[in-house]
Amino acid sequence: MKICLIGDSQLGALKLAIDQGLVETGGHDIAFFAAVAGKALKFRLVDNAIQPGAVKDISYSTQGAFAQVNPSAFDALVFYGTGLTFGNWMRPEDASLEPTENYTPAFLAACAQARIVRSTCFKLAEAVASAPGWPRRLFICPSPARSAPLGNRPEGNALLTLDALNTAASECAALIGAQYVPQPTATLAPGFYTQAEFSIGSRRLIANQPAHPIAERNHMNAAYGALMLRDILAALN
Amino acid sequence: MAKAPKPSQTPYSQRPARAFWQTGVGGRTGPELADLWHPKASLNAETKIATFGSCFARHIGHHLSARGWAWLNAEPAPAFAPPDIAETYGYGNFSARTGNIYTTAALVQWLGWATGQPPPNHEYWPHNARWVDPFRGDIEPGGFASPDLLLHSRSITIAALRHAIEQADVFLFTLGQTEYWSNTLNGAVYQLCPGARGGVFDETQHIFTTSSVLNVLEELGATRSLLHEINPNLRLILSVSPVPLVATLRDMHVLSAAVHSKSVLHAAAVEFAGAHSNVDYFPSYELVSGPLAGPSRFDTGQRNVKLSTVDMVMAHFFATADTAPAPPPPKPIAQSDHNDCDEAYYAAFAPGEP
Repeated sequence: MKICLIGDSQLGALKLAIDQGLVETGGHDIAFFAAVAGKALKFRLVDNAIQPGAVKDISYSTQGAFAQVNPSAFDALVFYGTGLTFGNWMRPEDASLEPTENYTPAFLAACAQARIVRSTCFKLAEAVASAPGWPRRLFICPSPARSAPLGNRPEGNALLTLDALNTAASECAALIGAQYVPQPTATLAPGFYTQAEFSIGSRRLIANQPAHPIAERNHMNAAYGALMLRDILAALN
Repeated sequence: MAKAPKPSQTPYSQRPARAFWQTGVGGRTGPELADLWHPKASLNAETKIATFGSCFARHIGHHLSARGWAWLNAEPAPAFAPPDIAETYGYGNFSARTGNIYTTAALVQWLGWATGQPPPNHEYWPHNARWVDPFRGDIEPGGFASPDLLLHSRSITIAALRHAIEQADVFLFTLGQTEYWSNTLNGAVYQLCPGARGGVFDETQHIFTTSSVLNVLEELGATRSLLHEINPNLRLILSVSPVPLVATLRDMHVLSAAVHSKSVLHAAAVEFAGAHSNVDYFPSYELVSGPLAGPSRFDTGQRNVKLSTVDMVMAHFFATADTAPAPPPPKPIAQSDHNDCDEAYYAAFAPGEP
């Protein structure tokens, strides 16, 4: 099966996992169509192809670069990150600290749903789902939460639980015939974080660029990529 | 032709141009009016202003906020809430999530709760398997999931209202209506007629009232006392919403009812402001409904005020302050305010066209 993962720099972890042979791909042919966040947010479905707009040199693949994603080129598409960033929405160190009980569950759910369906990730999937000739095997995945800071953690107050956000994302995905694949449970730390060990050794999206600084907590490493990719492949099978 | 004799000196001789129709209004559009109002104390971007009232009042908060004035939002939406969703749930329209407060009677009721009087915690209305707050109407689209959630949410808003009053330098209230419904058993003043959206109308319990000028003056007096109980230094600015009634229960044409209602509110507000050194009247009503030159200030239907009209009204509000040049007006969230008015629910009861 030919699978294309479409998204932002967070896909670097999954690419690294494949490059390092940490994932058994089961004979699937996996391609990437990715750009760093600011550019990936400009991906659009234009003339029935997913195009990068004015962005150049952003795609790379295990089988050579390609300039756009065409409908008949793949059997399944995975839309990854690209605005679907629960960890940023609920990040304790810079999120608002209002008590959860100040808001009704219906309001918080409406906010979550709006944020999800307005993400580039979801909008791309939605556009493809209703366009002619595209595969119907569509998957949506969130960006990983930031990794937990070492030392004292901010005592923030997340207004929504990860379970609530995952449920909302699953429901939104189902509405367009897509499947939602959440962040692997084994990678999570309390407080809307990813466990610190998963961001050590993360690499940039483009292979020949230098590695992330050691303190970088936004991007994950090959170990994370392997777990995420296994979940995606499991959902696919 | 004989020249008109020069009039002798009278008290009018020393009056400024704004005092005469020909030089103050004649031939002028709203933006061309000058010297419209003079608040008794200075207003500037640092003045902390809390805003409440009827539909029109939400525009005031939006404009204050957009211009970087110290508009108080004592019950904000969380940072991750999309602005349009927050607005739909009643965040950011007024300084607390009270929804529209149309009448001075309802305002006194809210202020009573803010000063410690117990709210009627048995008052919640079933509606489509959910629950509507009789005092805040559409604040929770679709209604609350349970009475407990409704009452808890109401208590948060009451606390936020008190907090806004404590923090404010100015409490700006826009009067909207003189017609309202209340409960004969507990005196509760409702935002809408029971049954219009949730609740069940019961003629043995629900009573219709039309406020007179005297009623409004008394309620403004109570308003001032209650506000000063919380914040003795608070100034009050009154304005009257130019948005007409959706419907009347009185035995008169809705046009007559609307003009009467606004006239009562206007008379009371101007009278009250004139009688108190810490109360001002801002003439938003006149700028929209007055006989000025230029096109109508209302949208089709002659009820909803054009957003360009709101911009003009607020330009006059800001003209009194010594501020930097005004930035562009705020991006409208609603196309017009017909979606903002809870009383629009009454329109559903109108018969077909004759």
